[in-house]
Amino acid sequence: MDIRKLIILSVFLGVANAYAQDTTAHSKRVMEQVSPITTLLTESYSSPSLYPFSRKYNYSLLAANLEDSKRDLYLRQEGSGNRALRINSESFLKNLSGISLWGKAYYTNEKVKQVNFNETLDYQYVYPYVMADTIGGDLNAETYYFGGGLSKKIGGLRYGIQGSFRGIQSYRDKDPRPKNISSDIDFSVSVAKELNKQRALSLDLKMRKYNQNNSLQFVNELGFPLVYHDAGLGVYNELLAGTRMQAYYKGLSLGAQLNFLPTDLKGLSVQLGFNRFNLDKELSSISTNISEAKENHAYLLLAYHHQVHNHNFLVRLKGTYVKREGLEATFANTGGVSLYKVSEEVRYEREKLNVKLDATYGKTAKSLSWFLGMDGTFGTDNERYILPDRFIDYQTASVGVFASLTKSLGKTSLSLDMRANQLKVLNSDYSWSNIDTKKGIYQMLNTNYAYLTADIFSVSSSLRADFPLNAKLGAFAKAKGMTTNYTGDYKGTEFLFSFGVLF
Amino acid sequence: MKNVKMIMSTLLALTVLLNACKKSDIPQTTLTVSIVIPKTLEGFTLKSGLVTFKEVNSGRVSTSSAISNNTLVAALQSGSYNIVFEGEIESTTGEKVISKVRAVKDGVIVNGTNLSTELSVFLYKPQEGFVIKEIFYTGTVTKEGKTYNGDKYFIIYNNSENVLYADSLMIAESEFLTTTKRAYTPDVMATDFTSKSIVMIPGTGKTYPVQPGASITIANNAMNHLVYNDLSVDLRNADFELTLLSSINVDNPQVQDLDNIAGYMTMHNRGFKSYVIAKMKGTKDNFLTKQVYNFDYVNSAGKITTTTAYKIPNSWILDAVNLSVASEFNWIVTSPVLDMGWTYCGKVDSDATRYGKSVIRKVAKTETNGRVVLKDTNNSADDFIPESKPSLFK
Repeated sequence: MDIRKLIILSVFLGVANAYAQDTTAHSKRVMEQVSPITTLLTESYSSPSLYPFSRKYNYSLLAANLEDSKRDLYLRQEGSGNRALRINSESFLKNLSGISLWGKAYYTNEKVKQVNFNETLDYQYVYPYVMADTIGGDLNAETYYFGGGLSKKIGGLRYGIQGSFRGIQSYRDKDPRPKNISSDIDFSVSVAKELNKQRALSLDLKMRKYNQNNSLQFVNELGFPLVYHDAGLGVYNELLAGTRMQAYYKGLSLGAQLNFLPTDLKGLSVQLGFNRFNLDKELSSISTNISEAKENHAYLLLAYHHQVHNHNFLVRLKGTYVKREGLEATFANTGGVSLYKVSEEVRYEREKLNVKLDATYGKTAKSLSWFLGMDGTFGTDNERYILPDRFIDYQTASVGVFASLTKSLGKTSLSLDMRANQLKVLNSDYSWSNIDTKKGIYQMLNTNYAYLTADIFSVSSSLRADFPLNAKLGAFAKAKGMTTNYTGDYKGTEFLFSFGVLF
Repeated sequence: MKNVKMIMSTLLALTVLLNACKKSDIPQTTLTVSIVIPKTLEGFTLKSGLVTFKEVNSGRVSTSSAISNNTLVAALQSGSYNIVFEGEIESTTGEKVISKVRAVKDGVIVNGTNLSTELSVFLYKPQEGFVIKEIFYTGTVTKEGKTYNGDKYFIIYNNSENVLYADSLMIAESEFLTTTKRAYTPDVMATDFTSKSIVMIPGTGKTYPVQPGASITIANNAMNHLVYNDLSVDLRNADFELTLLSSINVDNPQVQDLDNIAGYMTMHNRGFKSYVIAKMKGTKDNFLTKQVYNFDYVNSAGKITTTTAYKIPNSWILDAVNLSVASEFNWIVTSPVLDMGWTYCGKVDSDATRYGKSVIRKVAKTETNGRVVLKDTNNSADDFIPESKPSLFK
């Protein structure tokens, strides 16, 4: 049975399961689904043991999404946008006295546009240690995801487990031809104590296992360009550059998360977590790691949701701090089978701090619900390479406003969301003076810097229509558009069209 | 608004403080380099010199001339270093004589706190005679984008002021690759050049005179390649022709063939091999009997491979040219006394831009009689113009 059939089967089982369940009214499910309060609170309820408290109503959905995005200014390693088809299935079955279950599966087929200086998958995981050349191009990728969890109260404690698998394969049909397969397995266990009828405390332990097999080929009989292994900000080991086109990445993340949550979605919620991620990179012909990344990720999420009758007020503060260190090995060619490892030193560092404050107020009613909100974000990012010394350092602040309106028109409900965001760069600096200005790597660093330090103004709008097909089953269609203006008259656009069924 | 500004200022100050606290010290090793004057140069003392360190992982190059009592102390980051010394020695007794010397040591592993190494100098005394003027080894590409072989060639030049004879002049291609460093046992590189592809200009000793400043061309196939490939060359006027594998050999009866002493001279078109010209001493049979070289090495599977080639004594060699590409270069496959650098066409393995390019020796000077003297410092990195337009192409 191939993986696509598995997805279809899981979706079918989800649908069948949902038909068997005793559901609440469709309209309430829709209201919860489209509510900005749900969107903002869901992250606070990521603890598996307490996840059943994240929503009031059970739901299942099956959707297809079409996406197209394009940016003039972008990080060269990640591409200028994508065109994707995603089939998505989700299910959430809440049974607080028994077993609560949830699951998600999706398949994505996408074309990532103009990926350059990177022939490796999952840049956000493996950076800066990608295999690279100066050509690149559009990349085809397929993603398969299955995940789910359960929560059950046993005695005085509530236990939860959650797991997921995400597999991606990417390839290009013309030179350079990467063929990459990555797998990402997430698993977490959780135990919670309900302190009273409204409050619960939980502790989660998390583990993630990441692997990638990254290979590159050229078929042009005349030859091919330099293939190198980026070590950060365009620096690479000359001894490893050339034709070493088979790399392996092995990552392991361990983490813990402490949660204090209201079980009725009202009041203060606190989430404090820490993850440690280690990633090793190997090349097929070298017996030891050529580089290692070690990342510490700490985060704090505070939220307060005040609800009186149909009035909602939510304020949320989220802070994340990420520090990544890259250890790079140096080698000697002693004439043996493999290169001899001489030493290993920290050469790459990146620190990111991000603080975001959200505030939302809204009123819900049968015929018309509305929400208004704003957010402010402060971020710093410092990336540097030591010897040769290069760095990018910038701070940003952004302000966003949004309005959300849901109107019932007979049995149909229409939801309109509008959002605007202005990001300003407060301060920025860089240095890579020790590089040949004619080289493609120099251009890459400059365009990446222009992207990272551009002021950005974006406006987005979406319209969603939900209409019942029968007492339990509803359908929805959603269209979203976004336009972005960057400093220097660069633009970006994004369109999304989604349709599906909700039950 | 005032509060927002205060929060932003605090966050910015915190960021600056965090950045200010960072350390970026990379440990260094104190390397003591001793310049050793061998017994063969007894009576000489070191006058001056410059030591160049190249770290092969990063490509960093540093130099120092702070030599005291034949010793230089350098602080280096850990890594693998190629060290080159170029300097002068002077006689301590009798008439004052100053000579140029060099020393080379590759793959010096630098790590830890302290380390010492020795560089044993050798005399650098370029001789006038036959030199390799040009090697066109990459071949060409047709208009249709297909590779085309058979139009490669060598040009050998009389760089002296005397008539020289090309009879018994051997051209040999290295058995070893400049892109694959191996520990060959026994190691004879200090005394011999290892080859399995050796050709020789025939003659009785004075059959093929070459005038001062004149050259001879040795073509792969001495034919008009323009008939088959507009982007190639007419080699019908070559002085000599190689005998290639029968499947790719086209014989021009008008052009004298070279003797194949061992194997076939196919010429590595990615430029991973090196070439020497040498004068045969004795007969071909004698060479094939006495100059056999059996050696072994550890192959990529970790097993011992035993193989056989021929060794050409360094004392027979008139000129040597190492070739490689930057991304793959591991070592030079000649004694540094013969050639201490390398030249190239293409910067990476299988570089598509290398076709239709050759390496051509630079001109050092032109004598008053019009004779052109080519540059020959026994360092191909300095002596050659890489990626040149082949001189026989129109």
